[in-house]
Amino acid sequence: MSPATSMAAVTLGALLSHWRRNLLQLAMLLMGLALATALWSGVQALNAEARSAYARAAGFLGAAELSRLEHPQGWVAQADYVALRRAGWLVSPVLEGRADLGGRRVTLTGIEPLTAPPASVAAAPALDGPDLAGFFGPPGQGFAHPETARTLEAPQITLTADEAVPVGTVLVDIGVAQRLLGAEGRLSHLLLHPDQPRGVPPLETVAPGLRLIPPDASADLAALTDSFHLNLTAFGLLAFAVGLFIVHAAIGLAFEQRRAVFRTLRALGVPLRTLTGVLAAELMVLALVAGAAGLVLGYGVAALLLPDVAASLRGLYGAPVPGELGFDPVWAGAGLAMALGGALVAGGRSLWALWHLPPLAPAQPRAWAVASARSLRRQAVAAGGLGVTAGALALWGQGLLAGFALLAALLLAAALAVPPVLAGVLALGARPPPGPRGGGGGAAPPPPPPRR
Amino acid sequence: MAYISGMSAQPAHDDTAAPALRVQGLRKSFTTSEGPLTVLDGVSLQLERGESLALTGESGSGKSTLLHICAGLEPADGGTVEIDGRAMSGASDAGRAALRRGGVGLVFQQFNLIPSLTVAANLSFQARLAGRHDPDFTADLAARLGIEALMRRYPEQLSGGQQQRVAVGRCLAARPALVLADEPTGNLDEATGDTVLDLLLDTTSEAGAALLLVTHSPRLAARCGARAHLRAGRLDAP
Repeated sequence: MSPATSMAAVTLGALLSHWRRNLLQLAMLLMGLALATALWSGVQALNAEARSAYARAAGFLGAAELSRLEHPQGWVAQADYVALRRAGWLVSPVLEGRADLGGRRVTLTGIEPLTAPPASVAAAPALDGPDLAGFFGPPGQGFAHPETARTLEAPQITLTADEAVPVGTVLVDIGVAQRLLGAEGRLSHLLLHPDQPRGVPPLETVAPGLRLIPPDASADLAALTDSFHLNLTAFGLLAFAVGLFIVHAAIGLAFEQRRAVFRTLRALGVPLRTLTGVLAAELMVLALVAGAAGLVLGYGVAALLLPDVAASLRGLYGAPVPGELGFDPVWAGAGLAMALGGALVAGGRSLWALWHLPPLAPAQPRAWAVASARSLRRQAVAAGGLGVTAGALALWGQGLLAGFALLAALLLAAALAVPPVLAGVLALGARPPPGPRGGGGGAAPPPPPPRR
Repeated sequence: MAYISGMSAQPAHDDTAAPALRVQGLRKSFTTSEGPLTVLDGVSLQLERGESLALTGESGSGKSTLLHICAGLEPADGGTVEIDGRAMSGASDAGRAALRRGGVGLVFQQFNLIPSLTVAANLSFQARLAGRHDPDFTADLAARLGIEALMRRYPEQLSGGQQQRVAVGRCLAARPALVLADEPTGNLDEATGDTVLDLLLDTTSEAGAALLLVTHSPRLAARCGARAHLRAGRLDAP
């Protein structure tokens, strides 16, 4: 170990020993950061799971890529499909409806794999193989998301689990769907192959009742649920900010308590750069520990909430969101980065003050007070700026995002303003009382009149 | 023999061994509401290893400032400071810290032990920082200071005299060339203070380090090898 590393390790040991002797303070710091990370990352896990479900739904049967033909009144007659095929149109039938399978209501989606455009069956790879005969043949094969397949007992079909199928949906052959839905001769819509042959008669001639629906309009769950997820994100961000204030207070207290130790360390020969670096490293170690705990907690909270959130999304928007949470390393990395960044933001002020104070100053209350007063002034200015921003948003802001920004600006301004306001009130209270009046030899004030 | 400007002849220059402390023409003034206040006005002194010098003076005369400048904790307006032949003046923060770590032991009036470390950890702390920790030497030092039974305790569990013994041990365990002690008995009763000073003088001398002691007490100053009085920014005979 090099001398510099050894010195840093000895210094880190001395600084960490503070926490060993102040376990409550350590618990407060870790809990604040862990809770902040947990709430933020939990919300992000919910959002990510829901959005990935929307993407899956948008990709299911090529809904995001393929145009479709629909009838304004609802059903497309099977005769129209036959007429279009005979006229040379490359179309494929789809039938969707709610059905009771084994006592559970599911969305039944029937397709015709032989005519289906490649983009629509890409979601169910098993349809490419020799199982195709099983898909058609009795009793008929169904594909369902593993979560759905696990809870479904459907004697009418043979179920196969497939991650690509949205939760709550069972993909079957069109004939099986018509039989189970009691919709003989009826279809929901027709999928249009992107490469139609030239010279086919126009749609108005072959099937005049049908209309063409472009791809995006039918798969806009993400846009539909945007405000819901904005709500969640705003809640997570505000919870994170509140957690950071707890962390800021804990770090500030720890720095305050260790001012004399900083002076001693400097006096014993720890360079400022090493001391600041070790303090930052200590902060990072604590942030990593708290961040990891926060991720576990956040995952638990999200897993606990997801079934209800999924039910809300299904009920409100018909969004097929699974009730089980997956694990995404990117989510975990982002959560840890938030914890590290948050700890740096919360401890940044103290590190900055230490960096700019001369070696003997950390233990001199006056020097520290001057540095703190400067910092309080900056905080007051930031609070004022946020207050003005909130006012501007209240006057000219439009939409949900502006509403949340207004709320965030107000809350942060209030939180930032509390310390300078308290310091002002304390300073006012600490002023010496005015001396006796009439110092120039005047008479004392008259006594109050006697009570009757 | 300690050399102090204006008090004795400058010693012959010795090429073989650098003095533990050499201060030349040190100047320092502070800006006050009544104008600049000069506390050090061309102070020079020199201390060899094994020597001790007591520095006395009125409150605010600049004794502690001189000590802090020697330790590289405060900048001077002019002049130079050398510790064991290495220049403290003009060095970077890291350079000054390295000199303090390896060459200077500091003993404060307030003891300044690290409250979250045990006596044993405090005792070996500076030696570990300097990469010179020798467990046997530290154990001998603890025995010499009479604190070997306190090694597992924390500073808050010690009396003032015991804390100051630990602080003396901490600075000597790193085997510095120079010990700078700022009113080391200022917070102790007379009997405890005498015991601590005896230990400080003896152990510093045994370790072959020079001692610069700042004190208000002429009685304590008289026990050092040499004495100097700081008045109007200059060193005089007491």
